[in-house]
Amino acid sequence: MSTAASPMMDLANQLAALCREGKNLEAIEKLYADDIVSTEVMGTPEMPARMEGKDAIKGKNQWWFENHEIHGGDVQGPFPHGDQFILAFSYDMTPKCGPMNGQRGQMQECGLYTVRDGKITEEKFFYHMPGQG
Amino acid sequence: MSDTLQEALAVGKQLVEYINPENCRFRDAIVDLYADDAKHIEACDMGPDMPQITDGKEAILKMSDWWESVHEVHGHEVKGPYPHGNGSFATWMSLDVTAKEGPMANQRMQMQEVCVYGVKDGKISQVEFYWDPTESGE
Repeated sequence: MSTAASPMMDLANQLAALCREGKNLEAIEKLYADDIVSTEVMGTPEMPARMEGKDAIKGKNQWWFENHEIHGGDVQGPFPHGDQFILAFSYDMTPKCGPMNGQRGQMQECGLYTVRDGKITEEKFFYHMPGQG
Repeated sequence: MSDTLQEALAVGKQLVEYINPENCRFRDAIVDLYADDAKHIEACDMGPDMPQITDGKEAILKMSDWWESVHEVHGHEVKGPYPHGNGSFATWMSLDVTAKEGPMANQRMQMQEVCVYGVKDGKISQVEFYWDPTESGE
């Protein structure tokens, strides 16, 4: 049983559905606030840990899709809490660059989203990459 | 890697070791890993024994003991820890559980939740539970 009991859950379910279809750019365009703040676990030269603004986040997503071959994946959730919700992602992928270049691997991550005025204003990612310690 | 990320990852690994299905040391995890003034925040108010916010390790232990007394856990799974750079980490958990009382009494349920933990000075200072009270797996 699943009920979209609130506007936030309706938005969260839309995001989950678009991510399942790999339509992340469409999701950003449609569901994100213009001044979205996105935070990764760590920064790299190509991708600072904290990025701001819809265009920057679209660029980050584009970079990610261009530099990873996705063989499969799954999105679980949304798991709500107040004005926030979480999606749990798993990916089967092969990076095309960086220290794991060419090595197929499974990755899991949680995205924590904050919603204000019907738009996603913040996203924070939680994951553990090889080499993080 | 930043110190806060390393610390969050280390505490996260300890927690997952305590609560994984081989060990099931949920109570010990609170006793050993939580700060005395830790705060537990649920997705919503779950009644007088489990308000939305529970303050302090003693109160969290009491609430956790209550929860264990009114649920039969058939199995669970834990994944993570998934750290974030600001001294926090997440875990994903699934539960196969039958409530012994309340509106869902005697109904076996499959639940999934994500917990986000805040770490300060090497201890868990806050935990927030994310789950959908309107969803119960059949």
